Amino acid sequence: MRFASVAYQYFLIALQTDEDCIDQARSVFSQQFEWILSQVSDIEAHVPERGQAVVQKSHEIQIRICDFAEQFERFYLSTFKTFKQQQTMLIENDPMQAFSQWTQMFDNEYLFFIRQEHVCKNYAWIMNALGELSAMLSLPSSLD
Amino acid sequence: MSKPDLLRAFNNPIEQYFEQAATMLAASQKEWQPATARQIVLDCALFRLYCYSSAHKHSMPVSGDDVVLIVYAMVNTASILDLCPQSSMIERLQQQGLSVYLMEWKAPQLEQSCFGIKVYLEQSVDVCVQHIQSAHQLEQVNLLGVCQGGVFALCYTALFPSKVRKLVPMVTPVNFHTEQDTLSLWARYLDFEKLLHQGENISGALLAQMFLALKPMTLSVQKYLDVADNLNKPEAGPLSEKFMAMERWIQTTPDQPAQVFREFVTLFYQQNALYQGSLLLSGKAVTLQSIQSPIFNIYAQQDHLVPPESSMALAHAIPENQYQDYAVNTGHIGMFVSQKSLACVPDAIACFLRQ
Repeated sequence: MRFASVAYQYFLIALQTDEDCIDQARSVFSQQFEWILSQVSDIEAHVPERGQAVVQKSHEIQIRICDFAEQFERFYLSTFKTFKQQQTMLIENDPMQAFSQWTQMFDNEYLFFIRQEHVCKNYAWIMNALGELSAMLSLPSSLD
Repeated sequence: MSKPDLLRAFNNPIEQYFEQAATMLAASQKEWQPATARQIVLDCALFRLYCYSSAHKHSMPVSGDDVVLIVYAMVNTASILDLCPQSSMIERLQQQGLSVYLMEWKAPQLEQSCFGIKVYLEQSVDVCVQHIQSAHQLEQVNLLGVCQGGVFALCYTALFPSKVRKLVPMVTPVNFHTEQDTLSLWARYLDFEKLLHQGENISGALLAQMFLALKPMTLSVQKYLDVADNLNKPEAGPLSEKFMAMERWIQTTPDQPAQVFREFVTLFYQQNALYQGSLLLSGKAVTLQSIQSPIFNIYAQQDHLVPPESSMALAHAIPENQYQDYAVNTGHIGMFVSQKSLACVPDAIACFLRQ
């Protein structure tokens, strides 16, 4: 409930400036990406003790994750801009209702976004690579 | 105005509005207790079998029409079927005069990570069916399979056709490659040789995040806006209890046994082998055409996890005179807890079993 309250407040702020919209995205999706981010933290914690193969793999994964996040943020920003253009009256008169409209519009657009083949492939690549790296980290370092 | 100032400017009324709802919900927080009286009749390594009827009725001969075994999915827990007194599919089935059995999976241990689906079916569903046959002197048992449990029930019925009297798959995926199946699209490119490591099971929390990611705003934000709005209405009634019971259920996410999960994703989601007729479980062919029992296929028209088209595809694999379906205008979870579904589905199931 308090998370929804914060998300709503971020929404109100994001109506003022487009840059703040990214904070709104991060506030909502921090939960969704928590697992991936925690994997990256684990990698960073282990990498200094490991060999070149692991360092290279982890570097590759982190680049992909950054690209993935940037691509998502661009999509989020563009969807939010469209929403603001379409709903100026509602935003002015009833911001709570506008927020509700926004969540619905976003989920519909998001479904189209995540169903694109290149997005599915990218996401799977990150998951598969994290699995591979995790296996490498559990091996004795002499095998690197 | 700086960002902290802006936040403070918005803070008061909004914070009060949400805080009030949060306080009401917190007051309704309690451990889940079954809404319907039940007893454990089998307690095995992989599952528990519950009987929802009074002790003296268990082990008595009853008509085969009146006994049903529910096979639940491994994802989340079966408590959703008996969530609270206002929302219990099991209680409603019982009110139809049915003796209800529920097979609930236990959280997998590491030593079970190498068991495949066939082993699981033989050591769980088949054990329950034998127990019920013997307890009530029945030759065949009715199965009600829920979601992934419906897939297990279909496979079990195909493997042991003579043991199943009638079969009710509920919100069950059959064709895993329909256009609207987002989970299937995501699963298509995952490589389980890289993802799974020997001796590990699959994190239930990770799966829960994947389900949440199908409707992120609706499931993370919008549902709280809706409940806050409704809690502030005088007719809110037991809404906060039901909402908190649902929240607890969503957060209870047992791990998945690794080999079962691997087979489920590769054979069903990636290869669509059940629907294509090419399914092999531990080397044994499992075909829907082997099913001899009448089928009553129940699906949700607004299902975002199992598209209705995926469930309806069962009609293509089963002879017409053996097959009926039943659509409910609700969502995947709404099938178990919505008043719309509870008002008609238990009655429709009882009618089908007694036809």
